[in-house]
Amino acid sequence: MNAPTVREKTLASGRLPAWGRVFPAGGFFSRRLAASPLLALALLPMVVLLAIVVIFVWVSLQTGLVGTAEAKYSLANYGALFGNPFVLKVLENTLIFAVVMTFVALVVGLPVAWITERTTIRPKELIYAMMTTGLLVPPVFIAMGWTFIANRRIGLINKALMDLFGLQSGPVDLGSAAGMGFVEGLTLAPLAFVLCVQVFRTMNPALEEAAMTSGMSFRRTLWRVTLPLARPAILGALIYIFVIGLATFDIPAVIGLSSNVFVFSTYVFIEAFPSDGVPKYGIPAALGTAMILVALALTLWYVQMLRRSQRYQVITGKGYRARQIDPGKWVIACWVYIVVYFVIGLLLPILLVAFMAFMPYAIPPSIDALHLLTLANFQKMNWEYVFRGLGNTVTLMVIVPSVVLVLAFCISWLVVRSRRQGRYLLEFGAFLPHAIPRVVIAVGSLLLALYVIRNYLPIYGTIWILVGVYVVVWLPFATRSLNSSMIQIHRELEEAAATSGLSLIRTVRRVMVPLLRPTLLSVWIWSSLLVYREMTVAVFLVSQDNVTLPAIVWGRWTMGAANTAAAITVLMMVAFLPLLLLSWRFARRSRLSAEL
Amino acid sequence: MPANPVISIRGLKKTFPSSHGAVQAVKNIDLDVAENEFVVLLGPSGCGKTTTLRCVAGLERPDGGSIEIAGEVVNSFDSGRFVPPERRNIGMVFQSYAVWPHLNVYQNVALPLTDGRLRLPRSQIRERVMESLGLVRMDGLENRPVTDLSGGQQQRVALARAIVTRPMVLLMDEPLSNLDARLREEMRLELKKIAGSIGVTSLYVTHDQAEALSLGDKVCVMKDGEIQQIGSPEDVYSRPPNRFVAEFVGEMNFIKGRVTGPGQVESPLGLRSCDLPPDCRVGSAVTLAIRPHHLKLSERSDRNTGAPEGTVVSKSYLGEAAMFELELPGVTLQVKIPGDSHFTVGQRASLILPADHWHVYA
Repeated sequence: MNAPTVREKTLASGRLPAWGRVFPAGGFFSRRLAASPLLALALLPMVVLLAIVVIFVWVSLQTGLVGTAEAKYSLANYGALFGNPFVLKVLENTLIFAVVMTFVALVVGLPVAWITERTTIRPKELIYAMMTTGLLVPPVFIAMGWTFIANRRIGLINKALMDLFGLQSGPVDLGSAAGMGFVEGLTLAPLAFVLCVQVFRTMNPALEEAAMTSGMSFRRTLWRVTLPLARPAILGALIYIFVIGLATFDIPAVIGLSSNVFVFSTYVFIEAFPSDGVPKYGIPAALGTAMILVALALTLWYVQMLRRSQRYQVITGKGYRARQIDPGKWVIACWVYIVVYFVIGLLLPILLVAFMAFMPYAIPPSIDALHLLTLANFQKMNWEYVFRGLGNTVTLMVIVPSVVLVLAFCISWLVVRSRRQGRYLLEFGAFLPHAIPRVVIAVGSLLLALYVIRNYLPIYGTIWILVGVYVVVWLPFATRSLNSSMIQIHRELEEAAATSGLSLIRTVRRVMVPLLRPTLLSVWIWSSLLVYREMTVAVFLVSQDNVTLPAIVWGRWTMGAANTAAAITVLMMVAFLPLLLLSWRFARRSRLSAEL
Repeated sequence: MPANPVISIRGLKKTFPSSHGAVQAVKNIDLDVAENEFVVLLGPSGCGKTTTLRCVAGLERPDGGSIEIAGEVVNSFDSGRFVPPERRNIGMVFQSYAVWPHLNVYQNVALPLTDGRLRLPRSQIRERVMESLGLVRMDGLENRPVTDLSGGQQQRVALARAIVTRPMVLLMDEPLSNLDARLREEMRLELKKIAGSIGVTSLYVTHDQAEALSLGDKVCVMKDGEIQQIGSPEDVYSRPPNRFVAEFVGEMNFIKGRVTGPGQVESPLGLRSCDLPPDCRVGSAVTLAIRPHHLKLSERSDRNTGAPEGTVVSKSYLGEAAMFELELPGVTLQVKIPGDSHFTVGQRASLILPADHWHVYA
């Protein structure tokens, strides 16, 4: 007989808990959980985040150096937002940057997502592997690579054009808001892909089939049914990426600082770490507070879109997938599109970085340049410092994912299994770190550590401040992944454990953890890889002792030692490969890459 | 009322919050289940039957009333006492089977004994698990992953898991509703046999009236969180106390009528004498009810008997019987005729009405 398997049954029962949906039953677990220490654990990161935001706003209301006698409360910082031409320029740059990068990311990510899920193109695993690699390679590497490609002075393209036409200076200007947006867009295209691929995969094929049987052609179906159905998800992806764009640091820092083109994040950076040594937090804090409000509004909009798009999804385990069309000879065009992206977005910049690692100075690659090949960059390297960075990075890569997993498990369980109104608050709280610009989190935690908790909890300058901030930063990712897995575990599987006499702890150990194992593993690995590539928070919070590898790369780069930076990058890439392979293995098993 | 009920529910209330305000799922329910009795909670979806069952299991915490299992108060709203499900002397079978997909058949059934309320020494576990699997005729499949099993087999594993601890009370939440029709009937018979052979007090939830009538020693019909009738299957089928039960259990024709005198009802079928509900007076509107299989059709139109005549407007062949729809002036009735019958659609036929089996509802 053709009975559904348990897996299908459990899948069939689940839907992502849209913010606002009420479960018809399931109060027993909520009560058991709410009364337990789990709630305290779940709330802890939100309290930390709140403290960070509060101190940020508090600083924005003062002029003069915070913590000294000259500090005075005033609204002057907010006034400067409208009157200060430099700040206005920063705002303009930020907007251009965010718009360009969102556009580029979607122009690449959306078609590739559609091609992958809705055509018979093979092998799909290869496309997934290429795109997830893009998601995990540190953007700093790409930024450095693109500097070697398109920098006005040393860039490959400009050098070639200057030689070709006898120009005085390079015509391509990477160091503009639009140029940086382009590179950032390339690094975020995989994210756009991941966000869009989900909707094409889970779209109910009956909806399209109904259009076809009503006599609509393929093209009409695409325009009148498929894309309108995908619109909330696409708009959601757009907002999600735009919010990231408002506050992203690494690429504007690597490319923009040397050309004196500032966006919000780099502006905050130069004010917090000015050359004269006296940080001026006031105006950046005011700007940041405004940014928080904007990002928060956008995030609420995003949540709205997410909820709308989930209405169109099928999450039954019936095993059908969306209809796929045969692209015929267009398959070549599809591959060209994907491969061109892969080359210019990933391969070329990385190869250039690798090349520079073995060059004594920045020089465009050519046959002539080969006689300059040298290992000097590796030999002169401060190995003691690099190893300290490596040690810190590895420590963080082990501790952060573990803590994140425990906290996210508590939150997800409370959110998925309880029916109280409070759970929406919890769910939103867990998602909040995504809405707060990461630069704000970095500066806020710096201020918190330096001015508030220094005497009680001297974590500034230690690895623990990074642990704390990273946990908060990756909580949304882990919680969302766990939510969508946990919702697929039928509540009755837990209830059966309870009526079989298993205590709460045993239910977790014998039923929940084994069932969630693939997700738990892949969330762990992904968080670990994301820690590995993190630079924004690190740049603000590291000092001599708690330095991480990306921060060392950044430090060398800003000191003008581009080739040394490239050499360290090569070391990081080599270490990165096995991790990447591991992540592919687990991403395939749990489909996590689609649950970002 | 039994002397020492194993399950005793008093004044049970449960309210759920929803986006449209609070919903009272269970309103003040009293129910007793005697030792080894098989009681079925029957009702349409949303009637509170599952909520009642889940309160007994401890999966929901009631907002009022008390529940006793085997003389122990497991839940009392007034004293605030609440025994969590894992410490109640129960076994439960779920609608979705809820067999743990990461464990095989044997491990599924063994887990309550290794990690549950009753932890047996290792030596006894195998014996108990095999005995339990034998009862549900799943011995020999103990090393299979449960995900490889058919729905019916999974349900057997779920049943074995629920009875392996030899609980006082077996709770079943629509356990057969996910199975296909033939298997459902087969499992129904077997379930009854197993429950009888191990001697367990059972509370069973279903929306399927045929299942309720065939399984239950006692059937409890519910609607909107309230009990409409508790009685033997025969009681429920033959003596429904109100229109809801009459309509929900089995098929029933309803005919609007009016009281014209003591024990007299005028309707499109003519004047009938029948027992009236107590609060009926002359002139009040009532509803007559009669089951389709108590009606007969005749080809001969016999004006002398005054049998009403109508047209057959539809026929559905059911195998062992056929169901006809007869259109009469002012009313359309369903008539169920056993065996083969030669009436065809469009044919005129007269209706033969029985003397008894009539119900009258205000």
